[in-house]
Amino acid sequence: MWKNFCSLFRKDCQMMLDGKFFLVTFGSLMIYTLFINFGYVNFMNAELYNVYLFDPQGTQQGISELIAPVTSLEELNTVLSEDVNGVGIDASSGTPDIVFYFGSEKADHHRADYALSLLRQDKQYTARTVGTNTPELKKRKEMSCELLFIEIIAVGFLGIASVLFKEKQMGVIRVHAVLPFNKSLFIVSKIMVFLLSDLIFAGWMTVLNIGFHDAAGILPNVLVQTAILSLIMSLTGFGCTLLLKDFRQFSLVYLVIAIFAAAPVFLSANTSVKMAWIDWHPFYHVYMGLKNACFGVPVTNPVYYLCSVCGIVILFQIVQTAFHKEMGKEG
Amino acid sequence: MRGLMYQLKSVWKDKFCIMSFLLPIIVALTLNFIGGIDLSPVSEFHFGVLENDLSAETVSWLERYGSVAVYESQEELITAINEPSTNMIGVKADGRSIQTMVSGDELDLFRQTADTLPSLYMGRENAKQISLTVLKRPDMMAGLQNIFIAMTLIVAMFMGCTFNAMNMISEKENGIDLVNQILPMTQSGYVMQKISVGFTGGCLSAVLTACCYFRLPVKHAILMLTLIILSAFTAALIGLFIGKFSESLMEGVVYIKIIMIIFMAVPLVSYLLGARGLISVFCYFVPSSASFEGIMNLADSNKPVIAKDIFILAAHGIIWFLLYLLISKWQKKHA
Amino acid sequence: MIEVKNLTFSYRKDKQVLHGLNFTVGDGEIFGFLGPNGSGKSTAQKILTGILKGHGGYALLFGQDISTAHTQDFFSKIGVLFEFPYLYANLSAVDNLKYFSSFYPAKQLRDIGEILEKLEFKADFMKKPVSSYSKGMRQRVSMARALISSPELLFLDEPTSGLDPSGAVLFRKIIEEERKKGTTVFLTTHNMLDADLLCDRVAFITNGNIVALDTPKRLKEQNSHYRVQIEYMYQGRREEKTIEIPELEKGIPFRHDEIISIHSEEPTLEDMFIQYTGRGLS
Repeated sequence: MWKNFCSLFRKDCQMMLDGKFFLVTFGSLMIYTLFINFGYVNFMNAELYNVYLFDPQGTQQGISELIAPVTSLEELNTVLSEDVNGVGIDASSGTPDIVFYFGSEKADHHRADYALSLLRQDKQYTARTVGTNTPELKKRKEMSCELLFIEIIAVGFLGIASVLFKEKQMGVIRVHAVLPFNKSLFIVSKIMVFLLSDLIFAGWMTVLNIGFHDAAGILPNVLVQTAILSLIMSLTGFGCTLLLKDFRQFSLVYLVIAIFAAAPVFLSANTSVKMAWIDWHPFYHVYMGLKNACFGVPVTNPVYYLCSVCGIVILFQIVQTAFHKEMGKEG
Repeated sequence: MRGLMYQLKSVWKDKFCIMSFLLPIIVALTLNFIGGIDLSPVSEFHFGVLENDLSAETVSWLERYGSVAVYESQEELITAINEPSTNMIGVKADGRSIQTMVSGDELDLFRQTADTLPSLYMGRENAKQISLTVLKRPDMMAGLQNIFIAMTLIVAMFMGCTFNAMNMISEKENGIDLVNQILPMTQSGYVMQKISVGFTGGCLSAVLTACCYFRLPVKHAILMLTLIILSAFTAALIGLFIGKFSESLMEGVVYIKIIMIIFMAVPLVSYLLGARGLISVFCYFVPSSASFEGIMNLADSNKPVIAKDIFILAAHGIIWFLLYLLISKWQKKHA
Repeated sequence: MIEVKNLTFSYRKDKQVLHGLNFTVGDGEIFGFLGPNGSGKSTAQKILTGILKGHGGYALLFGQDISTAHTQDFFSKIGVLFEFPYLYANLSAVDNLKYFSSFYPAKQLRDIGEILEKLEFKADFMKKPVSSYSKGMRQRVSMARALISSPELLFLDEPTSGLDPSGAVLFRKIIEEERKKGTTVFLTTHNMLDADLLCDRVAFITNGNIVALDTPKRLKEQNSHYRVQIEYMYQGRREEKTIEIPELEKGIPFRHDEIISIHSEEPTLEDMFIQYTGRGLS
């Protein structure tokens, strides 16, 4: 059995090499690393609102250095129209009038009060920090987690389908039907190749983008979550390939999964917008597992692991049935 | 002309092409719909407080700025603050003032808010007396939505790339490219027929997408149409290249995806990073950069200047076309 | 070697393909299934090789019921040549054979080079990818794959399909050699010549039923006209006459100057097939 598995594994690795899958994965790793290190960590930031003061008479004294003075009402209007999140203070009459473009009801309350607070030189206060991450580390972890998720859902899923569709096209699946080995090994071998590839990818992604020191603590959990996602997506890709007629049909299914499955997950997981039904979305829980692992939050819910294992087992059974059916088809 | 009709018929029967055609239109309609929804939860702050810690008056004051969640214990509060998907600010009573807590990894916006919150609390009585002038902003989400719609239009314009590539790859798979070689059709006739397929699809998809979202004055509409025509033409040409060099459907789909990612990523990243100088020049090597810039100018500005973008797209069209003819001639010579 | 009784199979409730097949195949015999496309011969072969399950009736292979016989041991004793040459296009002939042979016990494997040489496979293509091979070359590699494990039972589906005449002759010679070694061959084909030249016994199958089963010789003899056609020269003219065979016992019963040729009017297997089934082989 081990010898047969090794033959299948070697063959699958050869297929992946010939299909340039490893090259694409390596290229993705490089691009993601460059993007995170030279792009994302630099541009992802937001500052508090700019405050502009028009005070020709100099009635406001002891104001904060954060206030930007303007020399005329026209200039005030101009800067506000360019910086629509900014807050203007018109102190030309002696008492400050706050003026700004509408944002949202609650945000506007804050903007007005904040602008007003800058007219006073209050004592400097620094909020207490209760976490261990820095803003840069958070950005790195966030984006690494998202890109890892995308890579496995989109690229890995497509990869296994490409390899299997090639074998389907070549007709070699039905040759395996008459070979003396346990037919499940055909499925296991492919899943293992992709699992290993995804684990190595996840490891490098974590180390290169989060740093060796920070990655060391979270890597085992990240790899566990990666393994769960990888197994689910590999089996799903395998099943879709066997059940769908050709690669064209698969591309449509792939588009649906990549966009409509991933989009609500990202929205719910990364913003405050939470859809009521998101708890029923399987990808949401897997993504949150991965994200929590990246942020060092232990994932200890036994129900999550139980459901994951059950899901993987069910998918394996479906794939096995579909595989046996495929073996009996005409050329 | 009749040949073109059957080519279009073949493309319209392809579910992949239909989906590619409809997707931008659906997204544009969705974005239009979203424009009418209040998304204020996205921009308000989130505070976490301990049970029975702050007075009701303080909690009401906090609720002026955002939502307030109550936690039973300090541990729960700290866990919620450290939760990566939110930027919660913890607030505790500190005598007659308040103290704030943050996780340390949030954006500067939230850290600065937390730093200034006690000051705002101390000056809350004065704030009630201040006069406010709130100016009406026509599109609350305008900036963000314009980027989305520009991306959607890019996808629509460059849809012709998908149409052409899929059409040519299907012909290869079915053996029709061999039949094409023995038909009494000139090389240029073949190229024009193929370009027309992708160009028609791309133009139609982009025009419908633009109509779903924009309400432009006539002059701007003409400029938008020019952008669409030039972009769709370039995309159709690129589709020819993909179709020519792809050996199989799988290979073609991978090339299409890579091209679409580059077309979307390059203009978006250069816009967000504010690329200038030599970098922005390099970005123009990707035709969608000029298209994106043109669309953003038309969407944002009252007096858009897109002559440069139109010129770049025209240059792309000419260069790709000549390149294709040169490669075809070279291949024929060395066949 | 093979014993089949009342074998039935349906792909769906309304699509019954086999309507009760009955036949046996002895050890070392070349048994042919002759029938047109859609007659059920490939289905029968798939059931016997374990690819299709859910059949009715029973079948014994190597003395075991096929419902339970399809173990690794079973697969190590059979070789299967499919209708189309299913090979890994990105691998070479040698790599394909090395890969497929890795599943069999080493002691029963034949030398790859030797078997490819026997099949007259061009040596300079051995290391090139299968995608660069012609149809005939792929068929040779597929045949090598079926033979590499020295099987006791060989299932061949259209073995000479896609081969030129010399290739077809070579394949027939190899199949004969396998039979001499004691290998049992189950041959499905719609090529009358293969069946006629190779098979010890042939079953005509049409619409999932066996309509005739006997040796090719006896099938033809049963419906032979016992006539001969004689071409001869007489008074400078070339003439032709057909006479009954018993008339020949007393010599040529007509005047002639020179006998040019004598041919027996024997029906072909295809003629017999049409007679039994009312339709042709294609």
